Amino acid sequence: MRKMFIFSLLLLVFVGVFVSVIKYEVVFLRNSLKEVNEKIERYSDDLAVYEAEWSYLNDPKRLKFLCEKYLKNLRPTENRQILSYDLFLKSDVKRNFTGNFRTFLDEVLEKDEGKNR
Amino acid sequence: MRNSLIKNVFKPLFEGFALWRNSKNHTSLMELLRGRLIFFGICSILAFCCISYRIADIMFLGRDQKVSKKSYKEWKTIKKADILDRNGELLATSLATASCYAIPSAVIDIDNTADRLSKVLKFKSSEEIKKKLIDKNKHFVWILRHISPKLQEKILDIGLPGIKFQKDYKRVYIYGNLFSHVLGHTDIDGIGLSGLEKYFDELATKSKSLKKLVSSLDVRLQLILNEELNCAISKFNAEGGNAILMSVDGKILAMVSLPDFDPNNIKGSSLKWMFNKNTLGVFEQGSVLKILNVAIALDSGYAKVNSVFDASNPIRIGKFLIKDFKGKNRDLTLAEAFVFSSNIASARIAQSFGANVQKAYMKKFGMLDRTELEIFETAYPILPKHWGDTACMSISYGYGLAVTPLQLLAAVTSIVNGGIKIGPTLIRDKGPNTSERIRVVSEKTSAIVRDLMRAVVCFGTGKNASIDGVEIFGKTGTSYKISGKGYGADGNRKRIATFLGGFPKDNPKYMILISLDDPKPISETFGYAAAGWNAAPTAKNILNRITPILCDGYAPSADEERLMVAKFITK
Repeated sequence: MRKMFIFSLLLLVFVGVFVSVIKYEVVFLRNSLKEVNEKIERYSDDLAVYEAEWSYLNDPKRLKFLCEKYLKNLRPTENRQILSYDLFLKSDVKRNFTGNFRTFLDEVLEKDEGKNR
Repeated sequence: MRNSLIKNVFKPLFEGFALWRNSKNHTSLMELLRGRLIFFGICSILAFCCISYRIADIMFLGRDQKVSKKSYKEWKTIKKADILDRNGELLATSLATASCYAIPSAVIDIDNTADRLSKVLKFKSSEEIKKKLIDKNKHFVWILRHISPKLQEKILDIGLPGIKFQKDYKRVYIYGNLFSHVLGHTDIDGIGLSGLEKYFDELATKSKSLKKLVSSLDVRLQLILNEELNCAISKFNAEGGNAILMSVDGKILAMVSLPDFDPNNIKGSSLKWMFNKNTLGVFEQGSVLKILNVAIALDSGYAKVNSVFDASNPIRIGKFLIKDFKGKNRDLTLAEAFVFSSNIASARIAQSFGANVQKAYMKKFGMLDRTELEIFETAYPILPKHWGDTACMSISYGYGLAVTPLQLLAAVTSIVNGGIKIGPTLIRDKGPNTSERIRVVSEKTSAIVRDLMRAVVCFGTGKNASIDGVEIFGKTGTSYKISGKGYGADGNRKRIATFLGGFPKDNPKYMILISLDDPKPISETFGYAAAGWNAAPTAKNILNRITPILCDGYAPSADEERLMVAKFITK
């Protein structure tokens, strides 16, 4: 009977301490979770602002204005510049195609290299 | 409690201990203590049970976690999700702002608070703020919603008691006016009042997990349509205009209605600006309805491409006179009647199949019902009161049946896409309903109608819409607007000029409709104000800009096509 009593008492103390630890752990975790959620919310809000800013920067109207201002050598693509693959296979272009297209960018890079030398 | 504890527990314990010390009879002592031991044992077991239950509650049932999840969810529903275009570009988003409110009962000096606030909030007068603060029984009153961080800092710097801030979300439309009619607008609390915003709210209530709404719209294409339509309106001094670009499976890529409004700043926008001509503008569409007329004639078998109809003289039915604009005054084949847009021949074609067949086909095309779309601003068509022979003849060339431009475009798309009915949509990932594949015309009819429409662009009234490298097919239509009881006096009539077309001809992928509201004749159009002189060139400008984005290759030259369509036409 005495052993039982001592065992119960020890168990009670142990469980009490255990519950107390768990409780404080839960409180701590709950606060951490709240902080994390608040952080997520804050970052999400910031991200929304950045995304909106990015969209403003990528506004086709603005890009068009910038292209007209800084890329004077370029002009909008025309239909004649795009060849379907089927037509490409049929046409003379394939026979004359050497596999070495010089692009506008190639020319600009070559010019820059020449200047640097 | 304390006394009873001493009396019932400690006192007997001490008494028992004293008795044990004074007495050698241990058995009686044990009997005395047994009761107390049992009592302690029961208490321990009960406490143990309670603690075990609590541990299980925390560890396995996880009620504490649920509480935190709930609060997280609540936060998520407050913020309205984004609307994107089909490429993921942001169209509408919610940005975090602060809203200023007051607790009148906590405001100490109303006059001072109002004066100092009005100095910072320059657009709010001191009197206006005083009115809000005067009722001391109130515990909450808004001062100003959605203020900038700078303004918030200024107000905080004053340090007025009773003036507080609450986190808020403001709906922002990145492209301002560009998508006004499609996206719609919200009220100050972010509740959708029109357009996709309203649809989005309904969708969000059904599905809580909805994070983003990906629309079928495309910013680049919308901008091109908007710019070119604006140019055309100012060039032809039109009252307004509207345009729709749609894929043949019904996905709307761009939808513009002018004049428009800025959903970011709805105050001061007139109802006229908020009217979406594409979905609400019900009017007689004119000669573009001849597309449906020839489709009915060919599909029902009442006429063939080379069937001949008498168009030598105007037709008089009662007080109505059906005549041609620049008529050929001779017999015309069905193809010629379509390409030269003969009203007389169209009426004769309609006479051949009659009102019942016409009505049945119009029902199949969806011309008699309201067009289903995600946005709620769609109108019902206006049908003739008595659908007899006269109505049948007038409908053949576009009068007597008033529909919305979207409705007409959906009907024509259903004809030219191979003959399968489509339902227009503004949602990118909404697939076609394969279980309900409704055929409206045969594939053969569909191909012939496309060829005839191509002929219109090569030889007919749509010549000005022809572009290099892509096989455009289309039809123009000029109708008179109803003013009062009729169409107004000659020379003072208001027109609606429309071009409806698609591309590429053999394997159509995209359809386009452009309408100009009352374009005026100018010297460049030699005094004409018909659609071929204004809507068709506008379409050409748009097509020249959108086809490099949408088409995947250069098509055969126009000369080759001319040979192909020449079989229909006797010049």
